[in-house]
Amino acid sequence: MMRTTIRFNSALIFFSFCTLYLIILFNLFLIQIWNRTFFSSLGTHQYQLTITQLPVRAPIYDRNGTAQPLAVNKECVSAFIIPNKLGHKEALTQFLQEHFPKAYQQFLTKPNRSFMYVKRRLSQDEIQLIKDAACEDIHLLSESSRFYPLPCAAPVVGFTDVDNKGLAGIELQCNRDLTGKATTCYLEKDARSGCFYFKKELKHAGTQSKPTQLTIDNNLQFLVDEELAATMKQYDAQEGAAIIMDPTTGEIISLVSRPYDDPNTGSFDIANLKPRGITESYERGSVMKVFAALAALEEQVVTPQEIIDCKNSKTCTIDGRTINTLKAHGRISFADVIAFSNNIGIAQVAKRLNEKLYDHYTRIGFGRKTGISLPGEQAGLINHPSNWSKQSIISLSYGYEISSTLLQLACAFSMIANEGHSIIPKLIIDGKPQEIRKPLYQPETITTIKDILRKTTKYGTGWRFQLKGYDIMSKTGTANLLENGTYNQNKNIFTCASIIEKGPYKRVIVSYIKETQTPNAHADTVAVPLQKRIAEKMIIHERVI
Amino acid sequence: MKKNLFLSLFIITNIGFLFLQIRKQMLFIKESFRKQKHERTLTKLEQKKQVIEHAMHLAQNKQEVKKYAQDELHMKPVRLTQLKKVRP
Repeated sequence: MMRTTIRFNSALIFFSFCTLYLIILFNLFLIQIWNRTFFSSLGTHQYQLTITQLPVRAPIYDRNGTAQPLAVNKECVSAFIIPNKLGHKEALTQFLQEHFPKAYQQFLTKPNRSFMYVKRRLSQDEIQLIKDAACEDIHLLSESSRFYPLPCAAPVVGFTDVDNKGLAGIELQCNRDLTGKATTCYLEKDARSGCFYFKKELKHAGTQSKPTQLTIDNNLQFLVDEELAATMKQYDAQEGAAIIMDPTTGEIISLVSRPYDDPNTGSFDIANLKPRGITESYERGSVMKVFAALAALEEQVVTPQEIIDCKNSKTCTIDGRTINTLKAHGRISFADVIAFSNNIGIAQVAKRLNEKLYDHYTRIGFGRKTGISLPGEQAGLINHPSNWSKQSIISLSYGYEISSTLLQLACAFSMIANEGHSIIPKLIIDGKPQEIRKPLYQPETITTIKDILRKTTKYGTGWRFQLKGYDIMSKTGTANLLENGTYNQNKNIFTCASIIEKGPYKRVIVSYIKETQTPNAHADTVAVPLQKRIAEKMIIHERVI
Repeated sequence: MKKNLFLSLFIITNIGFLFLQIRKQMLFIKESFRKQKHERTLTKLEQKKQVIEHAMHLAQNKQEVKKYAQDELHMKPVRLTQLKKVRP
């Protein structure tokens, strides 16, 4: 009896073990063979990781290099939640509803997603609010965002979106270089900690981000902006812009426009972050007489000494078109027609040119982009001869029926300063020298027009812009603005363009002020004093004493 | 006898190499961890540098600097007419 029991027990234990082993074998079969794909992928997910790292966005420097950045990175904090793994859902929803209603609405639309930002680029108050709430479900993430140390350079530098992708200006133009290319790595890590890895393999090598150096001078930009702001405040103007350019290299040393918003505030109007000197084209008025004169002198239809009858009147009718001019002049030389900016005189000379004036305007570069390749550049417009009325040639001679950007005007004056050689404006220092092109005008024509511009500064409309010891060549322009198809006499744009020379030192300054509230204002009282103050600041800053 | 001695030496040598290999792997992992710790420190320091640079740029605000120079140091903007070139 005893032996039977022992045998039975032995058999029971044997079968129990066999069953156990069978269960283990079955499980092994399930894990190793049947569900092999599932478990191997689970293992891969736990141990292996593919990460993509984007290099830090490169800074943007001014012409003086690393000491004067125009765009750098700063740390910012973003808050996020993992909606499908919430610990205290009610507390979280209440907090979001109260303090982040947008995120709350977003959360309600898809409550089971695996990731959701509560808000990006939090302010210090918001960070403190989240910390005080001690809500375990809200996590904070440190991110990089852009900071612009010189807000007045923002219209040129541009700005980025929340993902640090360039949206405007240089940030957009050089986005590829500034961003670099992402590097993808394959990691084998410890399944639990996730802090360290055992093996790192490069899957795809990216490229480092490259800093961009602009031709803009940080300090001069600030100084010019100050002067522009002061003038705009003095005349209660709506808009203004100024450009300083090196005519030999084409480098833009300062490009200021107002009004502008500070992109660091986070809430700004994109319309107020346009480089207006490039993106806005207007009819510029009498400043265009320089180019009409240039054309007339080149075509030899007039000489500087030729006496033109300006009818000794402020108003005159030519070809059915009433021409108004600021001051009445009698019989004066062609050089004085330009110096005193007489519309009646230039209209008579332009009639001798006829359609050739259009060819000269296009030759100089009006009506097409300058080649600066900054996003948003306007080409301007010249009324084509096929669309001309009888009076078009008259309008074109003193800057109507032709619109141009301030940059085009700067380039055109640079061509004069540069002995007839046209240049391509530059905003980025890339080491490439300025391409030397054939002169657009004969040297004699350029010398003559320079002399006329000197006279304009000496005793003409630019007389307020005299600086002892410097060779100043300037021209002003006051134009009525178009409003609902008609020219509004009370809304004007005041432009001044000038060349400053002292030995080998050459600079072109162009500026405009739009829509002042001062009645009877003219460019010689609004734009010229501004131009002079800008020139003074520039000369002191560049130490050309 | 010789055969046994050879076998023993062979096994001991192999075990020795095995231990050396394990040691090498351990050292490699240790150094890799140290490197990763340093990388983390570097990232943290770079973040701190960014914060300090941001503070520096805020302090270098040209408007503020100008205001300080004019209000506190009683400095005035220089006019071109006030400057004279001294020739040696």
